[in-house]
Amino acid sequence: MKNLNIKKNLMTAISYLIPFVCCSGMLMVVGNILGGQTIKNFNGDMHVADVLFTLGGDGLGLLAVFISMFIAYAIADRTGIVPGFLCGVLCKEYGYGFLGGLLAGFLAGYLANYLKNTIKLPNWFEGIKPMLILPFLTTLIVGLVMRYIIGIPINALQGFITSTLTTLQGGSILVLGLVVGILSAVDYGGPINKVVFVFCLGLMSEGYTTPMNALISASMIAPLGLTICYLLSRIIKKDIFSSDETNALKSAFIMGCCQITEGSYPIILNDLVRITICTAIGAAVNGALVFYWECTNPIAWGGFFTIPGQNHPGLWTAALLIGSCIFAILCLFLKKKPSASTAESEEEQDLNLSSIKISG
Amino acid sequence: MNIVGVAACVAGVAHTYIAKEKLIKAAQKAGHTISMETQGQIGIEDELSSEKIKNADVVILAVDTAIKGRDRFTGKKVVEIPTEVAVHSSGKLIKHIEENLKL
Repeated sequence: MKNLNIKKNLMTAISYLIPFVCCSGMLMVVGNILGGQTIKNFNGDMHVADVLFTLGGDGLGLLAVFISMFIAYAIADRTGIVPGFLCGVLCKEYGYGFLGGLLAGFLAGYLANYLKNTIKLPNWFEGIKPMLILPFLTTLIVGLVMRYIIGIPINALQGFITSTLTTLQGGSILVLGLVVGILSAVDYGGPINKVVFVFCLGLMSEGYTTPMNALISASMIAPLGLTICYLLSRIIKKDIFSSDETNALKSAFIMGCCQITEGSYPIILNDLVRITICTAIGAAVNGALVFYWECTNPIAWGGFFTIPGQNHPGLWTAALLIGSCIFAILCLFLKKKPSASTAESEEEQDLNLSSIKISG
Repeated sequence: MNIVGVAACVAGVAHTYIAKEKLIKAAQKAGHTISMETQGQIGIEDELSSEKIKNADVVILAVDTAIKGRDRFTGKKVVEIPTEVAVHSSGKLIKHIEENLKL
């Protein structure tokens, strides 16, 4: 299983996907602000706003195609592109959604790779292999498997997930919000956050955008919370930020507003455990509030840039600020000023390095 | 020792560059020469020259995604880690490589 590199290939595809969802979401938002609507008749009258809104919506509708193609590409390189694309189209048409696109991409990629290495043709015939045989065979097999075997449980599963989520009430919504909030924020844009991102994106393509909305604000808790904490510490004259940290905080704040948590790293790393406790609690509250107030928005990434798309911009911002303030107050009590000497020696985390192998 | 490396993370805007900075800092502190290439959202920056790769004793790949041009390192000693390791423990990583490489 290890050689399959599932995580790395998925992450490669996600890395291509992020600007795609940002761009499509933003088009929808701009179109929406200008009063655009989905165009139904492409020969009739249309406004610029309609064009933008429809383009963005079509883009998000193609998520399954995009993810399938880029997973297959990550696995099988060029050979994966065509089968990944076509199987993604199949997933979109038959309603297998994002989840189906993920599976189709992996199947197409691995099969394309396998066929590439197993099919041996005489030299004079070799040219036809990448041109016709590989894409055709891979698409044929994966397409039929998706349509007649895997598609059936996927449709059922999707129906189940959507109906469960839309009927969730009261306490269970809050719990879901807590979990999404914590998991999105706790590793500051690292691998856990990206796994949640995939999960939320899947729900988003089914039209359920609240989880992604919680992820967006939860990712901003740490940088905004640190900024608030700094301001509070100045007010009550509690000296807990070193001058290096104060400098780092400026870029952390700006990056945080755009939902890039990593700018806070220099500060977080000085005191990883304590600050992560603050982050988890702040993000949990924030996530629960976003779910409780049913905040939705069509953009999958972008921090404060998602505000034009928010159905309740005020409540979403309130959830974000409440979470950040909780973070800030906790942090104010827990955080210690790094002494000059420890800042110099840079204490490092004890990761298990013994498993790291040098190959070659 | 001569180190070359590639950093690439998922979003390709932050971890990639932090990992690069941390590795360069840690390697120089330990007295090694190092060149890092980044493969972020913007594309390849500071691309490693074939000469640098040829002269390198070890290749550090701090990558969360599949990278471009991996075949450049065929036959080299390659250490592959998630960017997280480079961000959190670059000093220890360099030390670990020193101990295990036995130059």
